[in-house]
Amino acid sequence: MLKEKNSKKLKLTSLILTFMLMFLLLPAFKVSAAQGLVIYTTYPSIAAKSGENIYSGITISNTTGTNMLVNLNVVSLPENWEAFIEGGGKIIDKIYVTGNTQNFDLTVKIPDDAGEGKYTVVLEAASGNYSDRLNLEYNIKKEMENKGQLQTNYAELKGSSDTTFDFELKITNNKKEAQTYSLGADVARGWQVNFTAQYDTKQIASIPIEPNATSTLKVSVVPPANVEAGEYVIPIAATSSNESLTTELKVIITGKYAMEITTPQGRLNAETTAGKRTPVDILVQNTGSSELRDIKLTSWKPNGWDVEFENDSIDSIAPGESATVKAYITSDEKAIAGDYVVSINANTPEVTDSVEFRVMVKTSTIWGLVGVGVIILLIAGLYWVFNTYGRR
Amino acid sequence: MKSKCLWVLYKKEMADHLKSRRFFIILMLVVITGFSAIYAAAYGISSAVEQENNSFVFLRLFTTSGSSIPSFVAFISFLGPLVGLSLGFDSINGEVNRGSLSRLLAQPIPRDTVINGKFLAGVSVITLMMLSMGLAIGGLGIIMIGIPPTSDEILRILAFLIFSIFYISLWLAISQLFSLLLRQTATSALACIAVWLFLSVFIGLLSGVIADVLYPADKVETVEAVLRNSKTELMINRISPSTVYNEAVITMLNPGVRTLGFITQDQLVGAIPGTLPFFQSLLLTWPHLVSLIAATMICFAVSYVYFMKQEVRM
Repeated sequence: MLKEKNSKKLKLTSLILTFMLMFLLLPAFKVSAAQGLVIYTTYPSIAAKSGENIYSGITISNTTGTNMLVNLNVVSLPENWEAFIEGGGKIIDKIYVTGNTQNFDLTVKIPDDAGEGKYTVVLEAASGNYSDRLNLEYNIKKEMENKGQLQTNYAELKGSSDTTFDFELKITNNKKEAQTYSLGADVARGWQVNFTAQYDTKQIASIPIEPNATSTLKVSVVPPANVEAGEYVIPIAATSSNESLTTELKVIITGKYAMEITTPQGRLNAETTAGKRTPVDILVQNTGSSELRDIKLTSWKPNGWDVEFENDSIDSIAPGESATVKAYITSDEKAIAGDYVVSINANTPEVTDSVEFRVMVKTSTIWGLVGVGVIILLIAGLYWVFNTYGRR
Repeated sequence: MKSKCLWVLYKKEMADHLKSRRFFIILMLVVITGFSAIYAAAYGISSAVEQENNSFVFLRLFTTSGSSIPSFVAFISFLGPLVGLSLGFDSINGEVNRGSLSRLLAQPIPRDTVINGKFLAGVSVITLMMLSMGLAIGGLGIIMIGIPPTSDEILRILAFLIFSIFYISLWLAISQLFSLLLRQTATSALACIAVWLFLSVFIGLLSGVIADVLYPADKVETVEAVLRNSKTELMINRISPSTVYNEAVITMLNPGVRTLGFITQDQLVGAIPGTLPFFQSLLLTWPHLVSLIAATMICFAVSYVYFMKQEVRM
């Protein structure tokens, strides 16, 4: 009976001991499990600003040798923060890990009103006896959200005075709220600075930009027609109610070659009689900002016509100056009455210009006079007939 | 004395012409056909005017043919001779047959005033008819197309009227010559109509045949052969006053016409389609005008000499 009682006691003790042993062994189990399932990220501590979305690439590593389904869970999240676990572009809460490593993403949405300081987000991966935790630190800094940015893609552009200089302008709003920036440039008189949307032709005076967004604009700078060669700096400003962003555009104007042919009176027509040689004054003007050298004059004319120049070439014309050349247009003897076109071209290696003359060919009046003579002869003949036969 | 006699005879002849039924019938024929041509042209033009900004719209009244009616110019070119012929085909032989000429010549008047008065009266009637038709058409044209003619257009229309007067006067001179040469009025009328039909219609058919015989162009089609053939055909056609008149009038009424001969491709290089100023068009048609006037004067001179030498005792 006693023996039976003793054996009962022993059973109970051994059961308790077993339980105690189990509880003793449990922590030891967990340590070994940490080596089996690990989650980690390359950048566990990130500086960010409020309102931002932070993406972190997370890697999960399984070294147990057996495939397992792992539950993912955000265990600790600051108030008002949001976090999503994403894999393959979808929101997930489980991941199946085979022998090696797997990657997934964690997106943390920092609320707009998050104050300065350090915040921690804890991500837990657990599967059966295995589990691991990853602490992600977010360091919210105030100074980062202060200033917007104004950037151009080209520091300076070069071209002649009739070029339109196109810059690309990027405005970044780093504030927490949407802002409207009014755009402006400080230029000398005669310059035109236009802000247009990148894929539109509408001119923009001001542009609203969402918080933490960037807008790209086109800025075209048109220099005045009479601009001199040189370097010009154009300050650009984007001003909102909270901040003023500035940058500078630099434009380098090179000398321009331009030439125009006309006549001293500006008349581009001439009159001639078939077969006659008619002089025409031709004015070659240098309308550019560089000297023109070695200007050659040529012409296109109808068949049988001839165009002679007093001088076939002009040595040089200074900017703003002009030279006069006499051209002799000789029409074909068989040209019919009416308008013909003769074009005169001036060429330099840099620039060419041509002008079309409308030459009106008139019929010679000699035959008209002959006709009058015939009629006078006939009248005389009739008079003679009257006199000879009318006396009866 | 002489000019006073001429004036009396001239007035008498004018009155005779204007009162005669024959002239009235012919005038009605010309007026009705002419105005229907103008109406048809204006009807077609008024829609075209709104679309194209063409200057010289007014002139197109005369040269545009309606859907079924030829242009005014074509009518004058064809029917104008009939007016001239009807005015003159019996001017002398009709009086001879009625016996009034010997009585008239028995009066103390110079003999040449008779033929001068008759011719001048005929020309006056023609002038009167053409000018009044020109004015009427001008007025009708302004009403119908609503565009007043420019000064250049007025000059061109005047030139057209002058050409027409000389053209019809030439036919008057021709018919007067026939009325002298032929004793019977019916014969002279038939002769006149024969000449008119020949020169208006048949010469166009004949000229091609003659040109083909002289310069056959169908076997060897070189440019020169074709050109010579066409030139010959044109020259034969130009014997007819109708051809001369048509060429001249088309040039006057269409400022875009720059030449009336044949032109080679060479001459066209660099030419811009454009219009000629009035005096250039006139210079272009000057030979035509001179030849119309000359033919009229020669015809009249021949009849004059023939009339003065004729024995009038019948």
